[in-house]
Amino acid sequence: MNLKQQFEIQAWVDGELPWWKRRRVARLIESDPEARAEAEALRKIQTLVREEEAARKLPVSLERYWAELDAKIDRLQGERPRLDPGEALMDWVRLRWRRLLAPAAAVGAALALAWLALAPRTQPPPQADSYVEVETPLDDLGSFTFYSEAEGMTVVWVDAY
Amino acid sequence: MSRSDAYFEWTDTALADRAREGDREAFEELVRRHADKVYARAFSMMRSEQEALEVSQEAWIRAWQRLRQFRGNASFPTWMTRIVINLCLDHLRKKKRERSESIEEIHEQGGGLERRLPRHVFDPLEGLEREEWRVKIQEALGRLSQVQRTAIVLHDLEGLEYKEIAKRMNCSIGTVMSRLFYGRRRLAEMLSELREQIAPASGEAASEADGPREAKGS
Repeated sequence: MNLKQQFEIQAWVDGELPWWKRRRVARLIESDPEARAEAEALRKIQTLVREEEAARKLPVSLERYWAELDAKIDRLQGERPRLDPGEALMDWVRLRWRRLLAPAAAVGAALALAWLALAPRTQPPPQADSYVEVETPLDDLGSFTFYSEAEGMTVVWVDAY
Repeated sequence: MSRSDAYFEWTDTALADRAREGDREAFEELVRRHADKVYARAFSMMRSEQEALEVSQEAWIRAWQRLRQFRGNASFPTWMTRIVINLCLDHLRKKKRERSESIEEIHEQGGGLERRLPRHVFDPLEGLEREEWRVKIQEALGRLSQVQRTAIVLHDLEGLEYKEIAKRMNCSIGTVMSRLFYGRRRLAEMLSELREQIAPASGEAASEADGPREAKGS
């Protein structure tokens, strides 16, 4: 039995052999005692490995293991207190609400964007292109100030009387 | 009756649903049910009690954080062992980066010394008691190279296909087959040697008691 045949027997035992090779390898295992012993030994090794693991237990008590784990989860959650049934129910409601709220928020945002895109633009108020009074703090003195767009300057008008 | 007792008859899926909503007692019940298995899978990979404890607890914490991802498509213990396997692979990669490759791994990568060993047809544990073989196989698994042991754990325990193992181990399918092949051969040889060293008398006694053996595989 050569190396290639041994690899094929392993693949056959592992259920990984392509279908077109299965019959040939099965015939080899059936007819050759050496090939059959190889296949049986491989199966035995697999069984032993599985049984060895299945018999393995925690080396510490379950209580201690859980206590450590519980403390780690507490630390992770910032000492979040345990939930009583009422809080658990509220948590459930909040969770469900969030699940509903997220799609609702997405729809709302889409509608808002659509409105912004499609709404008619409001016309800006007509601007006087001549003299716009900006400030008249000196009324009592017979003067006023304005910005002249035509001239591009601020003008202070003072009455001469 | 405490709430944990009340959860005694709940299914894993129902407990996971409850734990997902923040119920720590439901999660505790899941831990009680599957802690041994998760720890054992971590030990199979890490071969160290302390590391296996740490990684298995890390896996439970990750599960707690990601319970929403558990859909019940696979069983809860299967979902958990996938988490712990991924964590173990991460830890092993990190360890490998931190140290140079061992001689064993260099041999394995290059085809290995085992290739030149005579082919071994074996019945490794004839004559050993159940508890004895468990100890022996544990020792032998611990002496395999890390890559061979990982391939064996991923295939024989985790039930992954060659293709999936290749992906996880970042190698070719041929390399996976080679690691399995030589790993199992080494395992069988180590077990045979251990049996000869430790229980030659019991093997002979068993042979005499059974009478003449038939040829292997006949």
